[in-house]
This record gives sequence, structure tokens and C-alpha cells, in this order.
Amino acid sequence: MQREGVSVSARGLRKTFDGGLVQALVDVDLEILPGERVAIMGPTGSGKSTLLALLALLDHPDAGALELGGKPASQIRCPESWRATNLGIVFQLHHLLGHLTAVENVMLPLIGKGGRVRDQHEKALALLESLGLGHRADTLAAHLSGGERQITAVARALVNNPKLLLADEPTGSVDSVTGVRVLEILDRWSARQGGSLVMVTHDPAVASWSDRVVHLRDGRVHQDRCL
Amino acid sequence: MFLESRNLLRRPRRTLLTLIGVTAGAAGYMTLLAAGAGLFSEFQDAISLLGSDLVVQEADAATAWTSRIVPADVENLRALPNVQRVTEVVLAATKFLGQKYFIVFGLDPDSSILSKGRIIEGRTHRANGAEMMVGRRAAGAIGLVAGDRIEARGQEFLISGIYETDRSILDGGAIMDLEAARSMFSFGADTTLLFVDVQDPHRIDTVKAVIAETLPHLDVSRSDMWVSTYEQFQVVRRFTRGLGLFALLMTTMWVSNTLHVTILERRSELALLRAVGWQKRQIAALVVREGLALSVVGGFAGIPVAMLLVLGLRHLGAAGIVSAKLSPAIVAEGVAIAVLAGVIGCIPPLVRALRMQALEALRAA
Repeated sequence: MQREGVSVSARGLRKTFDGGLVQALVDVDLEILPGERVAIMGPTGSGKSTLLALLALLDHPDAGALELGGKPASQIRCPESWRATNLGIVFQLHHLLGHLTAVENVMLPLIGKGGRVRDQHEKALALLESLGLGHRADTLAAHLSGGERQITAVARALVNNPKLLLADEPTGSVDSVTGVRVLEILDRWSARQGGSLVMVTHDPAVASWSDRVVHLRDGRVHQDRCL
Repeated sequence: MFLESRNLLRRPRRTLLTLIGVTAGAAGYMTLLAAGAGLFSEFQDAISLLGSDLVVQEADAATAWTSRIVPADVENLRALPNVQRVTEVVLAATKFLGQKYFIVFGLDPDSSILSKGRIIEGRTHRANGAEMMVGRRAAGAIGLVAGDRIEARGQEFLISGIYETDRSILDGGAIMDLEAARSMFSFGADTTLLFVDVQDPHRIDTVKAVIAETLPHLDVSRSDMWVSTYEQFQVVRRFTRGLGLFALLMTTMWVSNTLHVTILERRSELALLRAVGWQKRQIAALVVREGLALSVVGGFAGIPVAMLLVLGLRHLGAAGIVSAKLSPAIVAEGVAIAVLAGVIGCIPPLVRALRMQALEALRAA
């Protein structure tokens, strides 16, 4: 199913922590077009993950304006509902539930949206199979290898056909072979679904898979270049 | 219940810990209520068994044990119209052969009341004799058989027989001659209670009203209502119910504390659900459904535990005072309150979990 990605528009985003002592983001301007693939790079503490959290509506900016798909974020009354419909997130730490199987973890966003459990199971299983992990679908997440966990986490982010995918170091905790596999999955999703992709990474090789690289330094956009 | 069942079944230690709390609370609640109801019904059953229509005691007496009725009142009662028979009873409690609270009934051997029980060994006690019959439970607890000679309050008595009535309070005591009991407990010619039989069963309330009017210093009750109008038993019932509610309060706190720890452990999991699009009400429903499932299972698991505790109470109540009765109503109430406690116990930790920032919880993980 072809879905157009959502645009992201950030103007003068600011975010501070510890009562203003730590400036995580300072006047960040960022425009992402529908279907664009953007890598966010920068040293540790440069504000990459904070920016991703703001885009995911998991946190609020102290100042500035953020629009998602042309709609001001401040007017999105139920962020959870917006995420369920539009967003997929791949966390730096995969955040799988160890007592659930791989397929059950992938089902979680679908369960949140409602519907028949059998249909949710079929959809999640089909996705896992397409990612080459069907044979491990009924294995508890706690018993999966690191690479299998990350692919399961990617599947969970993709299962709702998101318009925007946010990935925080998607290859950071896996070996290089699995890392390439994860990137191929994201690339394939982007090409087929046309969704927008924002990916935080330290690795220039990973960033090279994107259309554009935004460098952050000390919470500010230091460089923004197309590849 | 897809996710709930997996959360509960695949985390057996956590589930078991919560279940133990709910089960213990439900069982404690049911047992305490059963003890209160048992005590109440023991006395009621005992009075009902004796079969009289009205029970009379001194109006100012705080308890039946302290009631004193003088012979003139007995004669006045016998002279009232429609009164068929007045049976004098001495009721006393004493230390006896290692039993701290041994109930002794003083009854005339010719009293028709004695025919309500069964003599399972020996014979009935004789009038004016230093003899007594001992209830089956008391005989078993003390180790007495018919023909034994024992000493009580400085007097020697022959155990003339062992009787059985299937009423703990009667079977846990002894019956002796009315005059011997008066002498033993220094009652003089007084009596503790009077059982009144009315000629016409339809006129019980009329006779009751006449007694209340002509002998206002006496308190008269229908036999089937005697215990329920007796303030001490109401106090005991309220007390046991209060203890039961305290047990439930402890259960609620236990469940709430367990769920609190559980939810703290699961905060990254709940945060993840919010991150992938679950709304707060969906997460609340998930946690409450899990709490509800645990409470229902724990409430029902409390039934056999309560049955065992009630059985234990019956064995402990050798003196015949405690005979807990676990009625279906008490079981239903226990299960219902356990479920309620479980659901209420979910709320405080759930509110805290939902107030937590999802991002904060994910970072903490």
C-alpha cells in the first residue's frame, strides 16, 4: 500500500533540561519533505535524541513551532492516537517486551488500534516473514539474538504502515551484517511506502543511505546537506 | 484478554505473589465473618433446640450469665393466662478440669428440654444428686466417660452420662441438676433464665406482651429472636465484620503495594505502549483487567482456604464457643469484596504510572 509520507516543519525549536542548565536544542529549524530520508548526525549530547523525541510527540519543546503533516503539534490533542496512525519508532534500545514472543511484540501497535487478534497476528507474522524472521516468530523476545531483536523492533515500527518513521541509532547495537540488513529493510520500506524517514546515527556509512544529512552540534543545526 | 493473559501467565512469580495477597485477604474476611455468624447461630440453634416459645431473663442484666430471677417471678409467670409451662434454667460458666470457659446448665431431670438431646453413654443425671451429664465434645476434650468421678468447685460429681445435641455450645458443656447448680454457683433459689411454653402457638406475642407489662423488671423475647435482640451478639457480629473489613483493607493495601511494585517494574513497558500509540484509557483498562482477573481468581481461591481455617476454628473451639459457619452468603460477600479490593488496589499505582512521562520511563529503562 503506497502511502505518502508526512512533512515535518520545525521553527526555532528549543528544549532545556535541569531547569534551563542544560540546553539540549537551541533554535533548531528543520524542514523535511514527504518521503524524504534524513539522517541526523552529531556527537553525543548534541541533541539528536531530544529532537527525535519532540518529533515523536513524546516530549514538548520549551519554545518554537513544530508542524507534522502541516498540522501544528500543539493542536494534536491526542499524541498517542496520532502516533498510532502516522508514526513508527525504532528505539536505540529495542524496548521489546521479553515475556512476549517476537510476533506478539510486533502486534502491540495493532492491538492498540483494535480489531481481531487473529487478523493482527496474521499481519504481524506476514511482516516478520517478509523480513526473514518468520521462523523466530514464536520465540520469546528474551530468547532472541541482538540482531533478531532489532529486526523485530523495526517490524513493530513498520506494522502500522506509518507515514513517518523515526529511528534512533537503528544499527547502533547490532553487528555490521545485521546493520546492513536493517538498513535494507528501511530502504525497501521507504521506496515502497513512500514514507518519511528520520534516522539518528553516529555512523557516516549509515547516514549515506539517506537523502540528506543534518549535523547537530551543541543543540544547533551545524550543517544541513543533501547527498 | 490476549495481552492480559500473557502478562499474567508468563510472569508466574509476580502473578503468584499478588494472588497470595488476594487469597489471604479473602480467606481472612470470610473466616472472620463465619466466626461471627457461627457464634450467633450457635446460641440461636441451642435455644431453638430447647424448643420453648419465649425466653425470659432479668431486664437489667448485662448478659445472660449475670441474670437473676427470683422464685416469686417464676410463680407469677406460671400464673399468667395461656402459659403452659415455665422451665427454670441456671446458666453458669466456670473453670473446670483444665477448661477455662466451661458452660454448665442447671436443669430439672424431669424437664422436657432434656428429651431434645440424645444420651450416647450412661444415663440422665438424678434430681438432687451430685451428678452431671457431659456433652460429647466436652467429654472428648477432657477425656471423660460415664461413671467417672470428678471434682468441681470443691464438690465431687459422678459423670452419669454423655449426651449429644449437635449444638457446639450445648455439647461443649455439662448439664446438672437445677438445685445442685444453684448450690454450686451460690444462686440460692434464684434462676438465670426461664423458658416459657405457651398453650396456643398463635398467642406467643400476646403472652410476650402480657409478661412485658406485668413483669417489667424482666426481659422477654421470642426464642427465635432472643440472640438477635441480644446486644452482646450484635457487638460480636459488628466486631468480627470490622475485623473482616480490616483484613480486606490489609488485602487492598497488599494488592495495591504489589501492583505498585509491579507497575514500577513495568513502567518502561507501559511507556512503550504509549509510544506505539496506546491511549491512556487502553493502558488503564489493561492494568485494571489484570487486577480484576487476579482478584477474581484470588477471591475464589480464598474459599477453600477459608474452609480450612473454619475447620481449624472448629477444632480450636473445644469449649464449644466457636463454631464458624461459612454460608454461601458469606462466601459470595468475601469473593465480591476481594474483587472490589483488587480493583481499588489497582487505582493508585495506575494513576502514578499514567502520570509518568513516557519518554522518561523509556530513558530509565
